[in-house]
Amino acid sequence: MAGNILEMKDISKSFFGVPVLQGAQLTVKKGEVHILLGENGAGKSTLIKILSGAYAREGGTIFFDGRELPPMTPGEVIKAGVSVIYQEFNLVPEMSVYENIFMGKEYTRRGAVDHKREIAEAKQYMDRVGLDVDPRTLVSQLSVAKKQLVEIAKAISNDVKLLVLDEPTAAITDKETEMLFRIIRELQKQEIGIIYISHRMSELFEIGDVCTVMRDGEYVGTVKIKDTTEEQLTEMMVGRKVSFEKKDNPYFDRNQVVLSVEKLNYKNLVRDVSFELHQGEILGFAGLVGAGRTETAKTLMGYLKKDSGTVRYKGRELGTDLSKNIQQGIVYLSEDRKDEGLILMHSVAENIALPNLDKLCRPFLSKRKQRETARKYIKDLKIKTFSELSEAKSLSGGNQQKVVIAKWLYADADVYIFDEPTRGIDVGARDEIYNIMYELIRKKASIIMISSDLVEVLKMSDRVAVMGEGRVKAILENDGNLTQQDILKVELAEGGSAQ
Amino acid sequence: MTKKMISALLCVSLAAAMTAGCGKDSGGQESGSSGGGVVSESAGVSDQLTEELKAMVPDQDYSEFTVGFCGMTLNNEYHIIVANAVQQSCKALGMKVEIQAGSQHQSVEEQLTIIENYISQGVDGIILVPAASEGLVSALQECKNADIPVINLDTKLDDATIETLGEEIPFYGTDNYKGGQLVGEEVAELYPDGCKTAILRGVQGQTNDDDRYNGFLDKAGDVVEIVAEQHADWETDKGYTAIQNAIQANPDLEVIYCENDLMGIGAYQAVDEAGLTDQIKIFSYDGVTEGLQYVIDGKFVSTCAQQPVEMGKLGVVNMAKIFAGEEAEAYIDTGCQLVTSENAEEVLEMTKQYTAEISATN
Amino acid sequence: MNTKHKINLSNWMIYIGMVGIFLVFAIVCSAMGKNFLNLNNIMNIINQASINAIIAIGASLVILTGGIDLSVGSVVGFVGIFLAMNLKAGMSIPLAILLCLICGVAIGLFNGILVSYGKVPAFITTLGSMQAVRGLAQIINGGQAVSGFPLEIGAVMKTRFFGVVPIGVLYVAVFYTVMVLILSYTKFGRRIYAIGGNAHAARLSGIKVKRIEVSVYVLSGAFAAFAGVMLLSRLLYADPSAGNSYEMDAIAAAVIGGISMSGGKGRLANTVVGAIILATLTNGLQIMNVATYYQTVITGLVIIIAVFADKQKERKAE
Repeated sequence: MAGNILEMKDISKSFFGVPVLQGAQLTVKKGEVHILLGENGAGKSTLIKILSGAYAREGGTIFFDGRELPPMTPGEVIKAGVSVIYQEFNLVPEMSVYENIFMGKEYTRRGAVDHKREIAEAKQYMDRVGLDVDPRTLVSQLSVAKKQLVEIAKAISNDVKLLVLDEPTAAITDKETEMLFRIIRELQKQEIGIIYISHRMSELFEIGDVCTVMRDGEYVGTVKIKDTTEEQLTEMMVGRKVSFEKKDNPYFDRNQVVLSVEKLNYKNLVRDVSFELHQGEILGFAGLVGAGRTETAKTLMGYLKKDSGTVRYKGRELGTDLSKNIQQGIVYLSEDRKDEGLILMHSVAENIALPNLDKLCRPFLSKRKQRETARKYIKDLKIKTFSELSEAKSLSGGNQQKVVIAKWLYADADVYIFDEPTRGIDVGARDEIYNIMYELIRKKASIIMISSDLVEVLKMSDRVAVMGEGRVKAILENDGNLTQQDILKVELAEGGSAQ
Repeated sequence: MTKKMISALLCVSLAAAMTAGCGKDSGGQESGSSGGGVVSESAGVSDQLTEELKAMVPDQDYSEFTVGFCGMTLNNEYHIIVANAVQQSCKALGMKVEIQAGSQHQSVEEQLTIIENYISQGVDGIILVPAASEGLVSALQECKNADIPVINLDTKLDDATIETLGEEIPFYGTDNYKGGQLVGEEVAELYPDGCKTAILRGVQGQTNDDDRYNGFLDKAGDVVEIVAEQHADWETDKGYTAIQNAIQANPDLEVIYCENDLMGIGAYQAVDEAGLTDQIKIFSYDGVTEGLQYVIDGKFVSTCAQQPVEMGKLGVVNMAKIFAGEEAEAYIDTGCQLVTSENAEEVLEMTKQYTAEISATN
Repeated sequence: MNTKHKINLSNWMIYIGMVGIFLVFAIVCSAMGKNFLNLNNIMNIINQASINAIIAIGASLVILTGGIDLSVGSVVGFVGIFLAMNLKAGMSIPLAILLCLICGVAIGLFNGILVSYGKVPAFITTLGSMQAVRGLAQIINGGQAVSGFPLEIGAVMKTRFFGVVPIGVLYVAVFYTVMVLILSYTKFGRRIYAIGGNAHAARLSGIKVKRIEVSVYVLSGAFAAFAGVMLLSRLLYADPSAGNSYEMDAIAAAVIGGISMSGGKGRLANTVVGAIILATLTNGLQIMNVATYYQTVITGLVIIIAVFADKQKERKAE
């Protein structure tokens, strides 16, 4: 048996004092396909970024190819023989394949780039990964699968010893997946270690040798693929049952359909999505990142232009005019508060006033009323801020989220679409946000809650729509007996009920 | 009324026209102050001009030859007249001609491109009114290497440039130094006991700016007291501001010498607004129609008129001589003339005539 | 409480700067025996600043939304020729001015639609229309200047109230008051700040971002057109190259006034101070008869210092 190519031990890392990795470990042997498994936020990508040098580790050791690695820059790590291929490729689209392969290590002859030599050598690397195009083709003209091959060819040209593939099959077809697997097996024979991150169970069993499971930034365990089952892996991912209480929701009125979505389509990100939202309901949307939940929300309210499908709101068909839909009371609270939720350089009061200028300007803005309103919500929602005139960027994540909620509370919306409402928010503030949500449904509003936190989904939702690959795979009733395993099973299953 | 309609239509079609971009000429013959616009390439030539020019050059067929004219700019009357004179003279002799110019007085880079394009197009000769000498050395070098003769009009390439180039370039234009001297003499004569004077200069680094300035100082430097001196870049609005400020600093200002009429016009507006037209007298330079009109109206004491039409004609005639294998004249002073209220109307008439001569006849 | 005081002080920084520049000139000029600090010269300065100040309103609005408008200088040149031609053709002054404003609106509409709906970067769009409009200014009268139109148009700029206050000062006062109020106290104004601060968030707050974008370019075009009318009536001579590089002066005024080039932040009321500072520099240095070379250097340095001070202020706030 070949030796270890990589040993990461006791890796720890925290952001702003919040630990995201604690005692994480990962050991990969030469010529092994090692699956890294875990839910969103389990710490997989943080671990990989520490390996690649993108993040600095706070503790722990990394042995690579028999020697201990000091903290290195990404460039040094690549030189040492580790290549990471992210979902977002690291290629320059407007340059040719061979130029991308040789980027940063160009051959020169008498000071000028030696294109001839580069093209000839690029061809060799491309042959090894079965990429059959002219090396002078622009990367932008290639399909996603072929771009991936360019990345792998580039890795080989860097004398790669350990290759990390982050969800490599997320955006390619079955046939291309087969091709990719052939190449992976080829690389395996050359003693190259491979870390493979994916959520597709069937895939893991096909390509993987060993699987390491992570949860909440911690190491759970490592098992041999041939000795394990899907059930066992799911259980390792979810862990012990977290205790929480699903509150009864007396305001959920199944007879009152507020929003009904039928066969909504947007590019290939939202496919034939249909569901209904009732008055007083909290409808959870579970699914992995990239499952199409955010896109569904943005498409139904007109932020993204739908390709087909109908949305009915209180019985009437909803147009695609975003600002009109917002005025009618459908609002979206983005997971990306900094980019889509708030105007960070403006004050709390100005942010709360923004969607409500109609109320505050008649016809001239009353700055006094703007401030009074802000002060009211600061008090009601317990927003921690120096004053209502402080810039939004001076607030913590949880308080920023509350400001976003205040905007729409004041606007008196009917349908609130919360996208990851508690991401990056500390535990105490979470409960406050949950209470605000309860308060909203008590006032007969309806809520769509997109969340990757299954505990949160089970705690809050009356029903759970599980999405994957742009489709609603199932809508599950949360009568108190629904478990994380139930949701995960649907998430990880290939295809779905919609197919 | 139709004119109003045209204007209104223009507004509406504005956006559409902008996408279409701008041609370099549109035959805008709608009558400006007088000279018309840059005449269209297809315009006819008067017989009178044809006869006059043919008599000056060796008798042969010039239709094989193309002349490239590189003007300083085509956004003021004076330079448009030079361009028109060159274009019409070329046509009178049957030569092909290209007219291009920079977009501003200082557009040396654009001129560089224009000349380089002419060289690659393979024109047979280039007539040049340089925006600045230094920036054009490389282009002139290329002309020399490509054996394309260059004739310099109006603004003389400076000595350093000629020296770098190692070749004399024929120049026909006003001796701006002499012109400056003429104005200087006039001022010295009118104010023998001296006077507080402000000078508005052109773009820094241009030869004609230096010449007009030094010529003036040569004759008037000992007499006048220069209290303000600013570069207003030949532009009207900058002239206005500079003079308004000069008056603030020197309420007893008596004389303003403006190195071109455009700055003079701005200067007059500033003086007029200050209500000091009786106290402050303006001496200008160039003799464009509006400048001459200002002299007639008594707003300028004088303006030093140049002969742009003559320059254009001489440029083309001598280029033809080179084509015919003869030597071109190395230097001709086309002369300048001080225009005062006495002869202003006469000169204006003459200018209009000249302009008519080189205008299109359709 | 401390923070509050600091914020207030830094808002006054620009005024302190202006007064400082005034004092320096007043002292140096009086030492040279020149008259700088008197009512007449202060009026002169504001009058000289007025055209730039009016253009700078539009520039500020556009910059507040995170855009830029480079076409304004060309609009000034075009409008001058267009107005002079119409007047010469016998059109009445109010109608001719109205047509000019319509032209400005049309050019602004073109810019705005291309930037917002066409998604062409503002810099490129307005760089293109800057060239195109300058070309049009040459085309409509064959590159010729226009004179010989009725001089009554001079009243637009040459009128003085009580014999001292030039009408240009009045335009500045009126337009700035109105626009400052609009920016702070109307939906439209608040939305301009919002889309400059964060266009995504603004859109998700129900704001019609594209419409607002178009309207600021339209306003910019209209103010530039009015500035063109002012310039013509000041000089009584229409030159197609007039207004050359005015866009840079306007942007400089906005930036000195603390309008953030990335949008969303800044006070329009300070833009006029920026314009006055620029005019004061030219005025003071010319009164001192400093050579033109040095004037450009000093003006450039002041712009840099102003922006630097602004950045320092922001850093402190964080």
